Amino acid sequence: MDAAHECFMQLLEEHRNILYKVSSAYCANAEDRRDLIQEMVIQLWRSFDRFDSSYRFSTWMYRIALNVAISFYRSERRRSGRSVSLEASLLELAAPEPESDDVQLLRQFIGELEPLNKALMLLYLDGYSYEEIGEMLGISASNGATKLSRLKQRLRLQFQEHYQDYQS
Amino acid sequence: MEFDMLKAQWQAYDQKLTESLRLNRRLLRDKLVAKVDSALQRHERGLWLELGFDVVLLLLLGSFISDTWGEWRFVLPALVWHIFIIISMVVTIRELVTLREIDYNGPVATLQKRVEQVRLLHAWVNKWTWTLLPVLWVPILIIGMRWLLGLDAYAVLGTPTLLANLAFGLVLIPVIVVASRTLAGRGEQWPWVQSIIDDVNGEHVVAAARFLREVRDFEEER
Repeated sequence: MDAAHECFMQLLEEHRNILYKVSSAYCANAEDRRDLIQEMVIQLWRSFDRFDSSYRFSTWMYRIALNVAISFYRSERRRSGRSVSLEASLLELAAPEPESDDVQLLRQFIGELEPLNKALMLLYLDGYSYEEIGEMLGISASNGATKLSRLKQRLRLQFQEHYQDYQS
Repeated sequence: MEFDMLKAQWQAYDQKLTESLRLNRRLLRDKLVAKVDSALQRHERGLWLELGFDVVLLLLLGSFISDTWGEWRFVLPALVWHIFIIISMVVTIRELVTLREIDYNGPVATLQKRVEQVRLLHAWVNKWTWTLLPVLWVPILIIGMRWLLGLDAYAVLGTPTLLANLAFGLVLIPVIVVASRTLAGRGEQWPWVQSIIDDVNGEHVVAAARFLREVRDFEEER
């Protein structure tokens, strides 16, 4: 194992939550999530020699992870009815703290969004600026802001409907 | 529902999530050392195989055309397949070039649009390959009989029989299209069967065109 491997593993370890968030947003099925995480890691490693360390690793990682996830989402068929593989996952979730109802709902609603809107919302929730989001997604900052405003409105409505249904 | 509050909750949970997540370093090390292929690399290998197969077919058909030059009843069916294979090769080469040029570190919408354009083209070729197969098998029969057995299909089977087969193939095309629409979503237990069904009923073309439109809309400022 050389220094590049070690450095890559260290950085990946520090930003492992990106792998989890992206895979959860794009795959409902645990098997698909495991495969997607592997795809993202392989692609990250293959691109690692082109990583410019003057930029944030998380930004670089997010862009690759999102590109892989959308391509994966577009090409992989649903796995329902297929046998379950026993291969271990690169990322394991040990005794997670329960999410609040709102975060859980938000995750569910994000999962239902269109692939590019999912990316937009994930980046927004992670605290990236409109400029950074625009650069990562290939749109202008003002376009990103407009789209986010609409998305937030759409999600607000979904929350409202959910709580109205819950109360009735 | 205040979105800023929701965002704060999301980020707070994110902190806890990071603590609960464990990267399987041993497995990761094994994968990195073993240089495990990505799905993209496997797909690329499949395309190279397809291209190799097409090149061999193209050369064999070229040789057949040159051997039977002047005998148009053999040359024409071979030319039909020749053209068909050239179209397929062009699409495969274009896809290979795109795959080679893919930089996953590029802006998401730009990259996805590029990939989807090639996917749409591929879906079109697959749709028409499967759809025209009932008609295209007649030229194969003519070429195959001549090439492998040295027989003239027109003389052995008779031109009316060949024409009847061609007509039957034409009639079969709408039947196959209707059947593929009826069977849509019923072959999920056999993914490759479902994939062929979706090729024929145009599901892959529609999905690729829809996503391409989605990416273009996303890029547009409005």
